[in-house]
Amino acid sequence: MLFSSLIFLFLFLPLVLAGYYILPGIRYKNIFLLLVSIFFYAWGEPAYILLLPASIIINYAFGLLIHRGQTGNKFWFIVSIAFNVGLIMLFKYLPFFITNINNVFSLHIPVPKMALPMGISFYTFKVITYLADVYRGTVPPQKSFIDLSLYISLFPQLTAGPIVKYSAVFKQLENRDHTLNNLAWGIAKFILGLGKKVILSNNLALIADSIFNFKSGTFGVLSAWIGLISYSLQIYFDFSGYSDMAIGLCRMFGFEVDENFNYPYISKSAGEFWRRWHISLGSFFRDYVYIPLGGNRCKSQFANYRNLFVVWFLTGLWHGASWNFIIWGLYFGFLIALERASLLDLLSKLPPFLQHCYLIIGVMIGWVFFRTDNISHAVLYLKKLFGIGSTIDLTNPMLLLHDNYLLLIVAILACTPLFKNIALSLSNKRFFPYAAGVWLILIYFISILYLGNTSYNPFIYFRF
Amino acid sequence: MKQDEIILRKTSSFIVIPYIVITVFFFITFFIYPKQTKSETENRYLAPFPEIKIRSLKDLPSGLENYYNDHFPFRESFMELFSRTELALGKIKVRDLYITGDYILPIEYLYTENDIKLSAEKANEILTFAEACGKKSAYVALPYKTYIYNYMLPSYLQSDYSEQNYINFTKMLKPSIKSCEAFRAYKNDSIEDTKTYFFKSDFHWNAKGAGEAFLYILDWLFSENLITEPKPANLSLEYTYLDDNYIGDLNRRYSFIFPTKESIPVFRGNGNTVRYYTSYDSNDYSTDKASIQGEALPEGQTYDSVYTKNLGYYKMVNDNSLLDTKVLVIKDSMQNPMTDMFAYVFNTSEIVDIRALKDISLYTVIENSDADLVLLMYHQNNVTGEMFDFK
Repeated sequence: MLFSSLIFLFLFLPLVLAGYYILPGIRYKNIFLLLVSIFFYAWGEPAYILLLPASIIINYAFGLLIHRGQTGNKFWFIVSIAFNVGLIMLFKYLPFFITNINNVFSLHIPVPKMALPMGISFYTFKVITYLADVYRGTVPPQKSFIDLSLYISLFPQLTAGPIVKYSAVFKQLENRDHTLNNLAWGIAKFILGLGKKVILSNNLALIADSIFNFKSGTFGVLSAWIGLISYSLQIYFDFSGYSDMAIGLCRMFGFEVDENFNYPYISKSAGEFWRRWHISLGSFFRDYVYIPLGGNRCKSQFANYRNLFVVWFLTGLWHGASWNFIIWGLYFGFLIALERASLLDLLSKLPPFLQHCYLIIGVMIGWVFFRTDNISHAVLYLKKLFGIGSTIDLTNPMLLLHDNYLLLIVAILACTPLFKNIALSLSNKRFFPYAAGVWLILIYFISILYLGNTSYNPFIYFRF
Repeated sequence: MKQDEIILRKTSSFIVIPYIVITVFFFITFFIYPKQTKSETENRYLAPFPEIKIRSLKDLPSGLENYYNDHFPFRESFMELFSRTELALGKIKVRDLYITGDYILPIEYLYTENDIKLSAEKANEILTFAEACGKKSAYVALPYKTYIYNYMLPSYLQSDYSEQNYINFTKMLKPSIKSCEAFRAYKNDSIEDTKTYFFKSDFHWNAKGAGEAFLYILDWLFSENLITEPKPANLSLEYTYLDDNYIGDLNRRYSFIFPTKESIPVFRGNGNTVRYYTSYDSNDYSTDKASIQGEALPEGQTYDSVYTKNLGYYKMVNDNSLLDTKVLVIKDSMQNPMTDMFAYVFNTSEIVDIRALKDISLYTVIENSDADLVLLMYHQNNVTGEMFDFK
């Protein structure tokens, strides 16, 4: 059930909100939220209905086992991490690995065909933060099975994050505020996310798909750039829209969750971009992979760069079992390594506008690998961007611009803090509360209008 | 987040109350809103409430979501509002069609060799078979509404895909098969005249456009000796105009927001002398053309009600026809306004639409026919797909 589906907006969510607020006390509210989260998971993933509960039970036991003794029990910690990583490996990467082994060694090992369990990449990482923090002793193991289950399965974050660290929310599992302000903040965040997804991302997707789906390369340079710009905007509004909805929903239930995006396209370097894009994933890899490996404080430069590339290899692989994602991850590793070596110093001497152009072009080139189906498709698209290859153009770039210029302008402006700054500057005016309310309800209504019409609605990050 | 908090501190109730009102309104309305079985705008049946079976429990969520989406309150009104908004924004491509003024135009695609190859083979087979049965045969490419593209759309949308499709298709036909380029029938007409040959809010042309092409085809058939008897002198077609609303097929897609006042030309010929046989293996006939027409809607006429509906097979016999020649036409819906013209000119016209041809093979129809001439008559962009699935 997508957050941006009519059945979620007007059947599931109102029932859940009503039930949640009617129930007294945090204990009953938690039990209720857990039950609806399990229902939400079962609705979207009936084939693996037992996987999530099984994972919760086993990790609950791991948490207690790791905590035995004065310091964390290393044996149980390694076993628990191996179990959770093994789960992802089994469901997400096994077919990919077997396919590659078959290709390299000309073998014919049968490739298992199984659907990726919903949200497995996200909730497994959440579990790892819990186990690692318990092992490090930064948080106590969760004694309440209900509360740990709720942390892992909380439906707003279940399918596509954000990857909220256990240490950031464990106190809220037992005590959180349910105020009108929290509810309003949550609703506003949710509606803004819904608008990003339904009004901007879904429409940008139609432009991007109309170009990227020409896999024969029968499109020109202008079309290639329009397609890439549209996709760059689409993926931002798709995922940040989803994150906003998830964060808003959490707040409606009293959970305060950190932002997952902070206007990444205003960055001036790849390093800065990744501090603003999918912040929860970046901080997971920083805190649970990069720093434990030694980070950038190793004695040898080689080790520093090795750590960097390990993290970016894993970041790419996390996004999908495909060479495209691995190349995409390593590409960012390469950019950041270059920036650390000397590029950042060079860039700092350039006007901010040119630094910004470097980042935008660099990120967009990366998205080519992210969006295309395989490496040859990516290479074909890159060639098209630079006018190499066939000149046959079966697309209508001028029509795309004519019909979508307003969408593109609004989308580009919405990538910046412009609207937020305008709202802040007007927040002292007497009319502001009315205007803000009308603005949000207008976005809500336009989103409903689009949802009643369009069939294009999948979230890109659901496949991870 | 802090800044957001500042903004929201003053606006909480202005956000929460309208949100709850709207959400609860749709929550309740869904249960009391009358449920339809069909969407007129989309021309499809709406999802029924899914069956709850243990064996197919995994399909239940998607079934319920489809049901909820399809029966969401005011969905048709939302669709209309969506179309109006898109048009108000000045978009050219709306709901996968081009809009220019009050004309709705289908989009022209260039088909690849692979797209066309199979259909060309099928066309070769069927026309060769007709020849083997002792009949003359030809392929006739009718003009499509995309013909007026280049006069009505901005330069960047102008293309020659329709002509390319025709050329690529006919290149794959056997050299012995004759092809009539009926889409050139309008080459000497002004754009203002040509525009009147097509309904504004329909995929199709009207009788006036069809008549121009019909005369062109007749001339060509005589010039190619596919009709061997003498050509009638001063053959012309006279039209009358129906005074009614016209409910175009494409207008439906936009919730009928385009004008329904359109010129509806019809050619009646000497219809009262025509016998209509609507059953392949029966000698029962009607002298009423209504037997091959669709019914008009309460809101106005449709393409089917003005001309003919897409029957799998029907035959027209006219003892007062201009020619003694008998013809068998394998057609798509563009032929429909020509029906009265065929009946007027040819002694016997058998009309076959393979989409609706059931229980009998096209090959059998051709083999058993006493037609002198078999025409494969599709519009020029109809060069691939189900219309070539001859059995």
